[in-house]
Amino acid sequence: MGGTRKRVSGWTLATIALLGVAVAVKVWGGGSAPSGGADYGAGGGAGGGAGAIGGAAACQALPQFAATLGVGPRAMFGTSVQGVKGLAVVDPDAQAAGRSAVYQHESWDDGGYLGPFVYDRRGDIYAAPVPLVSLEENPPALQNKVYRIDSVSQAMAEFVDLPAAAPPTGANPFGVIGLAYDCDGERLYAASVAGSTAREENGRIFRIALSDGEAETILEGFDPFGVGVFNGSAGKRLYYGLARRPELFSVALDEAGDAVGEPRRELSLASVPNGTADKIRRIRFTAGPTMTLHAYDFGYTLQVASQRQERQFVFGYDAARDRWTFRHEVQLGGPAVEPTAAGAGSAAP
Amino acid sequence: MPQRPPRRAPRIARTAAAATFLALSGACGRATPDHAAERASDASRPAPTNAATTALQAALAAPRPADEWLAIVPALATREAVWQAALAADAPILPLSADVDAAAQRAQALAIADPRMTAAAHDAATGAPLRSEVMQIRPVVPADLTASAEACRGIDCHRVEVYNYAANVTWTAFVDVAGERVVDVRSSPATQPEIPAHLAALAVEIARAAPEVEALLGGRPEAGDAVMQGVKSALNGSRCERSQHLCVAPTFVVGDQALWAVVDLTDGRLVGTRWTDVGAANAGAANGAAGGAPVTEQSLSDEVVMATYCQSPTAAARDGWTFEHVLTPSDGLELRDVRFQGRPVMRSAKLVDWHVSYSGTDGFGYSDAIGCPKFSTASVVAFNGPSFEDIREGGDVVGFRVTQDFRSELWPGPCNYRYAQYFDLYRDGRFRVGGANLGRGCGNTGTYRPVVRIDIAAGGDASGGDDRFATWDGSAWRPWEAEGWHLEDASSPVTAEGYAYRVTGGDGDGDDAVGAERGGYDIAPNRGQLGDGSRGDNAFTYVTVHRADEGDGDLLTIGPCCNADAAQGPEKFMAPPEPLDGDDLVVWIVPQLVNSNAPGAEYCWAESAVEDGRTVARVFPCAFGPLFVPIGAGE
Repeated sequence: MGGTRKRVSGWTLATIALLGVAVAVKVWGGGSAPSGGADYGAGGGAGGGAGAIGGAAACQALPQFAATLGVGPRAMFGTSVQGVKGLAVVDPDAQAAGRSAVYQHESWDDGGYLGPFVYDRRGDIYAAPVPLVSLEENPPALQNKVYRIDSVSQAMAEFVDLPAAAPPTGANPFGVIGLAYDCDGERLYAASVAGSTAREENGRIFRIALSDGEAETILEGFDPFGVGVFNGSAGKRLYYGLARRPELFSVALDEAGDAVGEPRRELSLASVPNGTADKIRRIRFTAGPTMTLHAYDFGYTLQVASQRQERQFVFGYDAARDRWTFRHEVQLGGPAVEPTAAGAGSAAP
Repeated sequence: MPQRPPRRAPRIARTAAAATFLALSGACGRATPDHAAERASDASRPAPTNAATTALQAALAAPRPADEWLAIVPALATREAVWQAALAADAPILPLSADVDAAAQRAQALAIADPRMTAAAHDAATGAPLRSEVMQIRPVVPADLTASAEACRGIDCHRVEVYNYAANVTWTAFVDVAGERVVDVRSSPATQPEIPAHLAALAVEIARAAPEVEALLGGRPEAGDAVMQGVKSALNGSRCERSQHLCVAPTFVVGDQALWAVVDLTDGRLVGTRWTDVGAANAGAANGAAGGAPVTEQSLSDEVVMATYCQSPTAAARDGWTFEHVLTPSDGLELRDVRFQGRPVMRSAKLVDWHVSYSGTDGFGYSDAIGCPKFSTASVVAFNGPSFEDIREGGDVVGFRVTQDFRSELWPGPCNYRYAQYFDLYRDGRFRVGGANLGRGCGNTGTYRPVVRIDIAAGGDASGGDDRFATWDGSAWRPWEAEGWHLEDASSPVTAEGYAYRVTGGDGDGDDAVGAERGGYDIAPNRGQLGDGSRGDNAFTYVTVHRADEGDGDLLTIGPCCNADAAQGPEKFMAPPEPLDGDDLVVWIVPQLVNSNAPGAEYCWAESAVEDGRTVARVFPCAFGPLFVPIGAGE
């Protein structure tokens, strides 16, 4: 580890997970759908349009190279591995088997520290850079990119450099901070806050075609955070959290993946039991369908939050109303916080 | 009770144009959604997120010593006397003295006497008693019967909740009253129970007595005016998420406004206040902000700091000194246009990086930026604005110190940091730009290297031009001919007065003379002689020609964490070295501070300790910074 690495050894896997920009998924799983932290849902059909009700990322497949790594059954991908810059595979069983606990392809640190990542039906991984504590490895001018890790060759290369509304400043070192994959349209959605300042929200949500990397802005003028695509009873919608408020919005998507109509305010985390000002950094659709919102106190800083807790809130889908109702908060080490008998737990507006 | 809220600036209204654009652009598949406009139609209007566009509605309470709170809140003084008696008797668990039935009283007695509960109320390392209090006693309900309390099934058990203030832990005892036994004792770290009525009343008393609340309401409110929405204080923890104290928020509703007073029951003080709108559907929102962000210690702090200290400079004047100060995104507190008796002294002074290197592991360390709590690249942030304090010598006030504090959230916990900047400005024109590390860090093998940037105006020229820099070589001042650096240590020669460097301002005619026409400053390196317990700086000093793009604006990370040589960042601006021939000069100072946790020799260190039943931070700061003395001031 060189002297230029910042906050590296001090950042544990858990720490960065708490920071909220990283996810980890198991390297392998039975069948084509990833297990563990992967998203579930319907979708996966060719072409646009909504399929069965559920998340739109069910077609995701594991990288083909995963089978060649010779890792153990508990190995996971991570962008928040202690002492490692970029994407890595961590194998808890490796040392017992005489292998290195961490595997990293030589290209996986080329983008500096990484944050959100998703993968597609081919097993390609798409990841975005996120600065952690210091900017030396993640200059602000290079944070509005998405990288692709090839499912076969493992090589990571820049996939797309997204246009920012304004040049980066020291007041906001972030670019892409949310990624979602839509099986139906073979596209990504990227949430970016590049160019935003304390006084001005210049963020954008991009639709990115996986076929050629062509990116189009579908929403702009506000700062989005976590994004997710869901096929609901009334069609496909893009869900997105706000980076400055603990609120979730959604907007309908047409077959081309463009936003149509006005965005809809879904809920505020300030209104759930033990409400919070935490911002929604990840949206995960699972069986049920349920929606889990991962939230933490994002403030556009690199502030060390070594023991800051991320909170997770679970909502159930009401297909008849095409709305979400608060179920419980995932207590990381404690009992669930249930809504009151009077229904005060409902966060639906 | 006053009937009207104080005057506040109106909110900025959104224009209709945005909504029109939304409809048009939506058809094109690219929209600028007006999320704020949608909110406005909601019953729950959120708290403003951009303090720059709204009147500041949050305020932090002025720091006051504990004795002052005891004096203005009689109930607090009474309670403190009870605590002192309990601690002296080594019985640190205060019982719930409310009107409870005999079974509950017996359950409480059994719980308090249980060895597990007794142990929980004492510090494991020292045995010191820890302030603890019974918060609730009630019969066990089926939902309480987890595996460990299964023995209570079918019998008359009581649940006794005890809150440990020092550790921020709730202990729960399940007591079989008929069987005269404690079935189980459980701990819930970082969890705060529902508070009893007498503590809710105490919180109201503290809020009522606070001068800030009285001023905001235009008079002292009556106790009955307060609303205690949800004495269950927990927001998945505490309203005081930084201090980890037990905090609640009595609220005073005035018309369609509500004043939230965040009260710290661990320390017995007001944390701060915030006005909110009382939305029709959210008048009782337990979070505090009518459907928006909850009012907490951190939300108050961030809102105040961002709006008051980060958005624009603040002018200050005292003891002949004038300057502006502003909190930067990553260069700490910056003083600008610093003048003494009207004469320019520094165009800018700030701290651009803290390089933290741990020698135990090669290359292990951090480059910490300090600055604003939001919208910044700072990793250690300001919890409040700068403070101003007298500097005394021999009992006389001789100047003042501007202090800016920066903290990690959970300092003094391991791998959490606290830094301070000091600007000492004396009535005789001397000044010192420095600061201190206040621990704790990630280990006891750390070296801290703060990078201080001073755009000096030695000759009193507002443009800063025509500065000269020289080193004392043991017999004379030797001028620097080009940009460079020098490492000062105990063997470096200094004058009889202790000066190692001299910076002067010429008259702009290219004369190379040092100690020239317009005066300047002798610089005394900190060798521990400045009376602040410092062990000296052992500092690198760099001099560069001023370039606007070399630090006039906010500098992002200037250098790596772990270089032990002069490659700390400023050297980037002298490649290749430019001649110093009468330019505006920037002086960079990088002290090297080695930490220690050796008992009796702690330095750059902090640790938690138990004092008077509370957890407190024991701090061993390491101060740094040279002293600038006007040439001839001591003659």
